[in-house]
Amino acid sequence: MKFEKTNYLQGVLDSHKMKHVDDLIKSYQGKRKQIKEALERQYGKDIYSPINSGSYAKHTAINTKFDLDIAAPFKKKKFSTLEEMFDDVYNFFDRVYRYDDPDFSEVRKQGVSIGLKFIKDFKMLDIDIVPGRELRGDSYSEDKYMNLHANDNSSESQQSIQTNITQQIDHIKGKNAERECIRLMKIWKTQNQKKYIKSFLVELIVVRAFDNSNDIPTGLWDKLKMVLEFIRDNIEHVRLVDPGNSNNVVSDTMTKSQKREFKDDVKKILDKVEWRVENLKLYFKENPKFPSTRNNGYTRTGAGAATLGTNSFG
Amino acid sequence: MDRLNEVVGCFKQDSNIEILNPFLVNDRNTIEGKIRLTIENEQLDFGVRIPEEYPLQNLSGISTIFRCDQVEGYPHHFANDTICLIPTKTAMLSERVLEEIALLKLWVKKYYINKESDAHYHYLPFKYGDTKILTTLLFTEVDKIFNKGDFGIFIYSIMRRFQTVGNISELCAIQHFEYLGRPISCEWSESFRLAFAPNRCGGFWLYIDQEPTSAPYRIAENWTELAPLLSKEQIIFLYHHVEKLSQDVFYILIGYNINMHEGKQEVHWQLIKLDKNKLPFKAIVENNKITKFEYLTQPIHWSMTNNASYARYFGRGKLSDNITQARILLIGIGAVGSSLAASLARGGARHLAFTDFDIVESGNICRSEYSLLQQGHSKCMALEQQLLGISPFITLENLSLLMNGFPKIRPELPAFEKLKKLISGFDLIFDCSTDMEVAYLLDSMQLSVSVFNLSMTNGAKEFVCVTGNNIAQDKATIFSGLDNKEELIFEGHGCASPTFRAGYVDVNMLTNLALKNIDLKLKNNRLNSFVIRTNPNPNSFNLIVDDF
Repeated sequence: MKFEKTNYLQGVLDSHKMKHVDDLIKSYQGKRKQIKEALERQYGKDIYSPINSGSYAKHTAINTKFDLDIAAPFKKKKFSTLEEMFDDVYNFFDRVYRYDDPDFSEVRKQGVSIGLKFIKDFKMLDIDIVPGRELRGDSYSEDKYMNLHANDNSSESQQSIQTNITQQIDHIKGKNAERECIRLMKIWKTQNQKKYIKSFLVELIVVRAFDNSNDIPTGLWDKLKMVLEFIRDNIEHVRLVDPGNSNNVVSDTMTKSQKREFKDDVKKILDKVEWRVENLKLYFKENPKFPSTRNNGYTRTGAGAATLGTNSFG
Repeated sequence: MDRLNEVVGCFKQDSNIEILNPFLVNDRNTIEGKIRLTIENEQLDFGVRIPEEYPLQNLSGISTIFRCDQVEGYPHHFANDTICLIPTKTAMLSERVLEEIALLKLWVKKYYINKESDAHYHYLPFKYGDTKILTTLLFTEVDKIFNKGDFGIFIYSIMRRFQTVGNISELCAIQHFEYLGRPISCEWSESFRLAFAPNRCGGFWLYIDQEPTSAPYRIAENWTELAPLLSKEQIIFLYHHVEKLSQDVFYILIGYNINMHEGKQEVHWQLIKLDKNKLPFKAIVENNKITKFEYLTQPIHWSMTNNASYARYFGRGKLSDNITQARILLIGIGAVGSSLAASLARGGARHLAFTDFDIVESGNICRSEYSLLQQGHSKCMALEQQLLGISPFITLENLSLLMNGFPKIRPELPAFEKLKKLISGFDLIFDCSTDMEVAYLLDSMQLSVSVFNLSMTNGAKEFVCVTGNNIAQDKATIFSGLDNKEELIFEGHGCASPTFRAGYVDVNMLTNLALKNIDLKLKNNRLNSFVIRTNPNPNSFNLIVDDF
């Protein structure tokens, strides 16, 4: 069977769909609901409705790496400082909530979030809570802006970060083609351990690549190729800002050498696929746990069904 | 102009030089004479001897010999009164004479008049006392700070003895020191120590802290010169223990501190050979008690030592710590695997485990690290021997019995977890087995350590390094795009085991280039698969590293 790039990539995406991990997602959703209710009970009128964030909320999740986060927007008057807010929420989980939830396993302070771990039905669940405070009294209902507390060990240098999660979610709402490319880029990043690349930056640069083009190609490979070429040609200079805060220059969070490395890496993909289309399989692989029927005709990409007949010598 | 006149002309034209004895050509065509050099009102007389081959220079010798017996104790002034000068090589007679005169004047000014010393250390020159058996003793670092007056016994192994022209050479290595009854290990690997453990002998060590010299830069040549540096306790220790020795000839190690570059200090050991029937001291006994020792005017028989500490051994070039400090597993030690193993050992690797099921055959020798005499040995045993001959710092783990090549255990079986646990204990894995089933099993383990799969196409046109956690598939994808159609070689073992075309230069060159790349990638933490392509240009040979 002739190798067809778009068909192959569609198979890769299929195998990474969240629907394959439906049971796990249901566990996450149940736990997330429980946490939201606990926050609302604890903080009553001082908190607005917690909202879902993270890649699952943005529909950019892949089943090998996803986040179901909760943003907790607090009223201005509740805390005099952001640090007080952050510590109060941390203490709530550490000193109160842990005794009410038999699944509770661990709580820890992270960059702008509080990381929670649960063990439910022999599965580990990770949920991050992002506490935020509205900018002025009652402003959140109108503008959805929040200030986040950034811990010192965070990569952000600021102590406070303004953001707007609703705007971040809206930024890619309905952009199905962009989301497919974001998910492919995340698959590549995860499978090839490109830890230096931030997922948020991937989202922003993919959307920018599409915005930048007057003529969006039709096939999935051609769309991905357009994105890769945009990254190759622009990553070193492009300015990417948080849609929820124009002062948060996300592109500045990568160093010059990391940008160079990103450029080199995507150039390699483009060059190698240009040279030989089958090389696409080196960079984007199916999740072997959920193989797609689309790729049956090609050599299976998962370790589980490798063709073991290469004539190599040594 | 003849040689004599040209030489004399050079000396005559220098206003600082007066010719004391006229230059003459003796019966061996050597030009000899005597000069007086006057610099800043200081006068020194030098015998001059210009050998027949001059201005060419024999590899073993000094060029012009300047000999001065009026002074001693200056750098580059040897015990036989000659001055060591290092001139630029030239075939022009007068050019060379003039440069050597300039260097001699510099020596007088720098060392004799200004009393300067060099920034770098010079070992004390000596002549072998025993010219029948030329011993070289290797020593390395130990976990002990030595203090002046310390003493004890040391255990060493004779690693090799071989006949040379007119004498026997003997190579030994210290196994350990003993101090106050406790062993102090040398920092060799366990494998090295065990390999040479059977040929063990004992000797004595005495730490004197300062150089054993009679004058600056002059090693003590007689026991009466060394005696003032030894403590009474050290001599009593020697006196009592020598009596118990079963052998007549034994060694004493003299330890002292030396200043190396940039203020770095290290312990140096110098070896003395002694006969217990000709001890250089005797005890004076009064009322059944030793009251003192008397030293005899007896020459010291110095022998060679060699500082083979890890830093020295690999000081001229090594692989990065990402490799040298890693616990490495090597699966498959054929042509590529054995070549890689040798480079790892020479690169300073500290820990290497290896496995293979095969034996050495004559056809292997032309492209692997094995030798003619190892035919019929298991490759693992043969490699162990080879690597111990390269590095005394590498701990070798022969896993051939445990793994018999690589056990083929299906991932769903309980024994697979045991195998995974064993493999997970390594930091770096090189799979040179060329067995795709091994690659598949390693992939199935989803290891967190770095795995590199190394192999080549037939004819060594391309060398492929695949890394990641999907090696079997990636390798299949990469190989399907390579030119691998060269005809295989059948050597009479049937259809099952044809072999490939590649010689030692191909294997060695490609494996080393791959290792160089892997070292760099580990250092930069940027691991990716790559192919080394050879350029089939008929006039020259080129290599291209193509990253994936």
